Amino acid sequence: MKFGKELNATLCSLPSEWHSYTIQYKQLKKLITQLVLEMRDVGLSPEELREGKISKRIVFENQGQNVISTVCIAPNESEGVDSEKLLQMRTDSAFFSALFDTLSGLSNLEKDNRKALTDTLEVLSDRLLKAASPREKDMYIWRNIFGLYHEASVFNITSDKNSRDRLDWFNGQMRERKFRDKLHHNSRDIFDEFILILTQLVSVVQFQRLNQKAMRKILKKHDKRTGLGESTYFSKFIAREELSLSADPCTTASQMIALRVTRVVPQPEDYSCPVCMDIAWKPIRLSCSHLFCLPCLIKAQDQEKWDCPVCRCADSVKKANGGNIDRGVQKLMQLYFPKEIQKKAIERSKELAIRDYEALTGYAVSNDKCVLM
Amino acid sequence: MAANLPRRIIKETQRLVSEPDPGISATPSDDNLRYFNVMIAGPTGSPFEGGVFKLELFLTEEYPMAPPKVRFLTRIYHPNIDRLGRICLDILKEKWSPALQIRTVLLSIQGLLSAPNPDDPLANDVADHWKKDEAGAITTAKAWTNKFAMV
Ligand SMILES: [Zn+2]
Ligand SMILES: [Zn+2]
Repeated sequence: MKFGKELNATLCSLPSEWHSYTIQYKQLKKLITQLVLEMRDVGLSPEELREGKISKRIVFENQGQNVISTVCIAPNESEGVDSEKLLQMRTDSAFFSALFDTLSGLSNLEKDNRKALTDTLEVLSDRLLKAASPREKDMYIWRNIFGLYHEASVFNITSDKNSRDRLDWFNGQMRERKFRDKLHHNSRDIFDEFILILTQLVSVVQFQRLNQKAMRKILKKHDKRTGLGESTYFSKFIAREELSLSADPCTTASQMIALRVTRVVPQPEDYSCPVCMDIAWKPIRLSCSHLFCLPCLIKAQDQEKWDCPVCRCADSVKKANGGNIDRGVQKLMQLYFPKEIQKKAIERSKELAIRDYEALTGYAVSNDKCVLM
Repeated sequence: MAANLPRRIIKETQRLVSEPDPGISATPSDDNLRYFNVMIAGPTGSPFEGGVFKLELFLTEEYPMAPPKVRFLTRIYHPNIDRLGRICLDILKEKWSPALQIRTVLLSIQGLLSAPNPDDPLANDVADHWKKDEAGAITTAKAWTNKFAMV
């Protein structure tokens, strides 16, 4: 599909009040065609420029409503001219003025959208803090919801599927597992709001990326047809103008959600031991600040592995003892992960029972049979 | 069998299968979930490009306190890999740390294919060749890749 058509098709699925903010791809394309004609008039050959026979630089200036582009052509040595030749083309300035105008509009729209979303998220965050608190029964359901949200990686730019498809998958999971029904009344409103915000954010991201793509495409076309190579100069120009356009809409979106929503409910993965990859119970904080579970620390000490497994800090493990239990994290874990801790404790006691049995009998307890050690 | 497999191994296996790294695959054997069949694609720009190298990886009972045992099954002309497929890589020996994973080990091996290190050799004859005549060694490595590692 040609990009112009793709652009229109994508726009149809986005809020109509955004349409006028979109990069005017078709109009800009026409300006490029006119520019090539104007170049001929002033004696600039796209072919020679493309072949690099003419050395030049471009200057962009912001003059109120307009952006003026100046092509500065370096003196030709063989002709012995000693100063730069300056050229301003009406259609070129018209092209970059139009593009810059759209970008400024987009920048304002983005600012407003972000402000509105941030305000909504702040309110949601406060309500969630209460509804998903460890004192409420919904905490584990919320944790599962956010766990699946992470798994869906809605705003993961590297994945080949787009955000909308991944959000659909997430919604499907929610329906299948009936999470909304399992939540208490208060939580249900918050859940609906969360889904609504995700849906809006997906549209925002889609719109931003669409415009990014349109800009990339049109500048590439400009470079290719005129040979002037203005896109790199223009990128530097807009960087100087400090528009508030997010370079990476996906990351911005996922950080907004993480900061105000999903982080409200800690996940066990945030407190996992890097050795057993299970919840770090009981949490030992080494002198180098890395966190491990007590059983793994004991195993490491038994085997005289003295350095920190993560940063290799010398003797971090050797120096650690009961005093290294991180009381703050321990309290937090007791509050947020009672089930996980209980499970881990049961596994640990099984492990110890097997060890004692082996020590007593000299038999190794294997998976389904006993073998002589 | 899976009942007694430490949770860490289960988790690592799941991630290896669900989020594989480019050019690397590792699948546990059906009858022994601690034994992995590994394939590493020769990195682009290296003399091993175009080849697919088979390795075996075994997690001992001590894992992750002790490193996994890894060996090339496909023959390869490389100064840090000997005729038996044994690999000279610090993290598989004294630099092992239980915070490292199967994934990190395989990525390091892939890196070793991109950057052979003849100053820390395991296969002395290959390393000598590499140091005295790098272009010649690379030609041999390419020939071996064509001969043994093409699928
Ligand atoms: Zn642990
Ligand atoms: Zn450390």
